[in-house]
Order: sequence, then C-alpha cells, then structure tokens
Amino acid sequence: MRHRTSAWLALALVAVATAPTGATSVIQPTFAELVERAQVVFVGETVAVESRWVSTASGPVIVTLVTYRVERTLKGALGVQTTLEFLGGSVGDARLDVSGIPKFRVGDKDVIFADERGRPISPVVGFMHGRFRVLHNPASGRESMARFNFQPFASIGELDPAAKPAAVPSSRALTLGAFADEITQAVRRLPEQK
Amino acid sequence: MTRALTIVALVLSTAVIGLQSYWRNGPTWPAGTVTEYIQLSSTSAPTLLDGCADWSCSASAAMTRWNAYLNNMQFRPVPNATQGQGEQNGRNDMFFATDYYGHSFDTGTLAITLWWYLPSQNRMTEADIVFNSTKKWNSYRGSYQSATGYDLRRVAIHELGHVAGLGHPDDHGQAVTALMNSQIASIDDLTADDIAGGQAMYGGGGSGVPINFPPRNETYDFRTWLETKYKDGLGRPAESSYADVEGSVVWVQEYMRYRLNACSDAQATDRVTIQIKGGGIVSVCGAPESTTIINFPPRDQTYGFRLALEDFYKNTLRRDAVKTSVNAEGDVVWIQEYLRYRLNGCTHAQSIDKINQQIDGRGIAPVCR
Repeated sequence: MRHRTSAWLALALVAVATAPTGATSVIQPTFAELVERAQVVFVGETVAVESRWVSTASGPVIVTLVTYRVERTLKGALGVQTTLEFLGGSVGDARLDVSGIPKFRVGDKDVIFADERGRPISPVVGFMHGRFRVLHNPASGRESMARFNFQPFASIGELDPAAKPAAVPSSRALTLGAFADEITQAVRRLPEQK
Repeated sequence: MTRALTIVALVLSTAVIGLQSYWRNGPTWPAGTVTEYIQLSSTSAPTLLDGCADWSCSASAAMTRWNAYLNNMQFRPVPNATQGQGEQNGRNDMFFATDYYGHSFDTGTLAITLWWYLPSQNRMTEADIVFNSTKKWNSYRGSYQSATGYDLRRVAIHELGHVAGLGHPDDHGQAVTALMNSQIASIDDLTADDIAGGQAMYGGGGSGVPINFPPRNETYDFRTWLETKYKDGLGRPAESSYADVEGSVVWVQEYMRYRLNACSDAQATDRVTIQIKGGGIVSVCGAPESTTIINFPPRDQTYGFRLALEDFYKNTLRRDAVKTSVNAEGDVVWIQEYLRYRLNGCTHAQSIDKINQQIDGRGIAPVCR
C-alpha cells in the first residue's frame, strides 16, 4: 500500500505539471478545428493599431482595430491589407481589457486564423490559440514558428490539445514555409471551401 | 525505498511547481471590498454535484477561496442579484449570456472577464464576468467530467483571478502549475502560484521561520516503532485506515509546520490540502511568537486534521483502506508528541524513550532543554 502513496504523488505531480487537456476559460481547438473554423488564414505583419469608442446597445465600449499587411493568404480571399476588430483597448485615460484576447504591436509578424462573422469579441479563432508567431533569426534569415506564447513547435502534432508540451528550440521549430504548407494542405482536405 | 520516493516526489514537486510565475496584468483594486453581483439565476441550475443549491452558492464559494488568502482586498458576493447587467455601470456583474453585449463568443469560450481601469492611476474601476450560457455547467470537484458539464466554481475562481488583476502565466511563456493558466484540466482549486500572485498584490503571505523538523525518515521510523508498540506491547488489534502511515507522517508534519508559523487550524488544513492535490507549497501565515519555546496546537485540532486527512484519502483520493494497530487518535497524538520532543532539543532515541514512558503510564517526561 505504501508503494501506492508514492505512485499517487508521482502521478499527481505529472498530471499537474503537464496539464494535458482542457482549459479554464477557453477550450483549445485542434489544428484541424482552427483550419475549419477560420474564415481566412493569412501571414501578416501588423502595421497599425488603433483603439476607439463605439456604441453598443448596453453603452459605449472600446474596440481596437488592428491592420495587417497581408504577405500571403492561406485560406479565403484577402487584399494587400486587412483589418480586424477586437473588443478592448485604451483611449485617453480609459482602458478595457479582455482576458485571453491577443494583443498586437506594430511590427509583429504572425500567421492568423480569423473569423469575423457575428462580430466576435476576438476575431482570432480560439482567442490566443489562432495566433502563431513568426520568429525571425536575423543571422540566418530563417523564419520559424511559435505558438501565441512564443513557445516554438516542431510539428503540427504538438499543437494537439492533448500533446505534452515539448521544449523545442527555435532552431528546430517548424519553418514558416512548412507551416504554411501544412495549412494549405489542411484547407484542401476540407470537404467544402468556405 | 518507498519513503525515499515520496520525499523525492515532494522535493520534485516543490522544484517544478514551486516556481513563482504568476502574471500580474498591472492594475489592482484599492484596499477594501470588491462587490460582485451574482446574476446567474437566469440559467436554471441542474442538481449541482457539490451540494450547492444554486449558482450563487458556487460563485460565492469561488470568492471565498480567494478571500481566504488575501489581506487587503476581499470579494463580497451579492447572491441572486437582480440589478441587471451593463457596461460601465459601476458594478461588477457576473452573469450568463450567449454573447457580450453584441460581441459573440468564440465557440470554444467558456467565460470571459472584462475589466475597466484608469491607466493613470493603475486602478480597476469595474470588472464583469460572463459565462457562456450555451455551454453545459455544473459545480463539482475533481477532473473535468464531459458528461456533467463544466465546473462553474473553478472557472469562477479563474475569472475572479482576472478581476483581482492576474493574467495567464502560460500566455507569457511561463511553465507553472496554476489555475490561472489558460490551459488546465484537473486543477479544481487555487494553487500556490495563484495564491502567491494574489498576495503579491493584496498581501496575506507570511515568510515564517524555518522549523527544524526532524528528517521525515526519522519520523517515519518513530511511527514504525509506534506500530510495533501498539500491536505487540499494547495488544491492539489492526484497524482500517485510509490515510496510510507514510501519508500521515508527511502531512501531519506539514500541518504542524503551518500551525507553528501562525496558521489557524483551518488555514493549515487548507494549505496542506492544496499541497496534497499537487498545487504546490503555499506560503505560511506569519512567524511564530517565539522561536525558543515551540507551542504546539491543541491535540483536538491536530486530531481534527487527521480525521479530515482520513476523509480526503477515502473520498477524494479514493484510496483503499490499509490495516494499522494505531488508531487515528493515537497516530496524531504521538506523532505530535514526537515532534514536540524533537523540536525541543531531544534526539530521535530520547524522544522515543520519553514517549514510551508516557504510553506505559509513567508520566510526561520533560523536554530536553
């Protein structure tokens, strides 16, 4: 029986340390769900961020308009620039923040899975989960991929909500080109293009 | 070997999950009370598995969890409030909705918190929590049960952490066990990291003093001696116990550490429970009044903790019963007495000898200093 005590402690430790599935406030989508749910997927650089007041039925709120220079469209159709509206932002001495909403700065380069239908709180699918950072190595010129929290990943499998987080150096991370290929292939596999 | 594994696991858990990686968003509330208007009655509650009668009970319980650890800010729940929700209405509303005032939820969103603040003063002015009413909800402890629905209490604890001023550690590249992570599964309560974050903003933690407890293997050795004493010396029959010897030694000693560092019985029990559940080591409550005279808690309180431990092992950990000749009362009375002798200058052998005298009815021998 004493053996079981140690086993339980060890199991509890592993369970909480790896935290494999689920979420408290946002359910992490699978890669396939990201591709399926996104209206558009694009590689873009943030070129403008502007917050402003807008009226709603319940009163004024602040929204932030983020404009991207579209480098490549992987799903849907976009022009050379596109703008997404996020709830929250800062105007004068008033600020509205929303838990888990992605925040963009001019110069950020990302792969973004977006869906603007229904005026969402965040047009990025799955809140933070539909944003993938493009990491640029100035020495090699290599562009590699990381998740929203700058955690590099080496394969699509690592994006599975049940996958154990892996410590991947950016030098071994999936390249932007390879990630884009994975997305376009997944888009082709969809039963019907949206 | 087994004891070594347990100790290794405990040390490892400290090393891995003891890292303080909470993330502060920046603004906080002024010292005092933050009133939360619980307006969740629009969605009828099913039979809630934790015994709560309604959503207000579950949400209020979430506030109680934070309140237990914060000094300078306390949530004040207003159950079953009917004031109506509104953006920038000066109230902190908590309600169910299919969207947020015309802004739709992502299909994977369970709840969101929106907070207003004044950047010039870094002060919160209003925070609303919105639960996605299209999801299935309940209130329970333990792992997520897909057939039952999402546990409103743990989601509320998480969202209240945002209201207090905490962000997601994992959004910022931190790897720590925390209910405030955006990604969690089996955690149903605050962890040491969440509490440290709350206390960094609103106080409530204590640094305490190091208590020179004996090595756990020696306490375990004493407990093994006690088993033999009860079985062969006193002729006590074996009884069932759900908390095994190792668990009792480890957690009673940990309870003592909290008690000796200014924690009440309830505070110590709560902190040990978080630790058993893998939530890390929560800070102590303060420093002892004296480091030369070690005052132990009343035995009935230690016994109460031991009974709570028994219940936790049986009903939460669902452990099988083990056999022991030392009943729960004898277990805690003599472990506490052993620790009292050890912390007051006695060696391992002296402590066993003095306890042997007590059990044999030869009076209470003095401590060794």
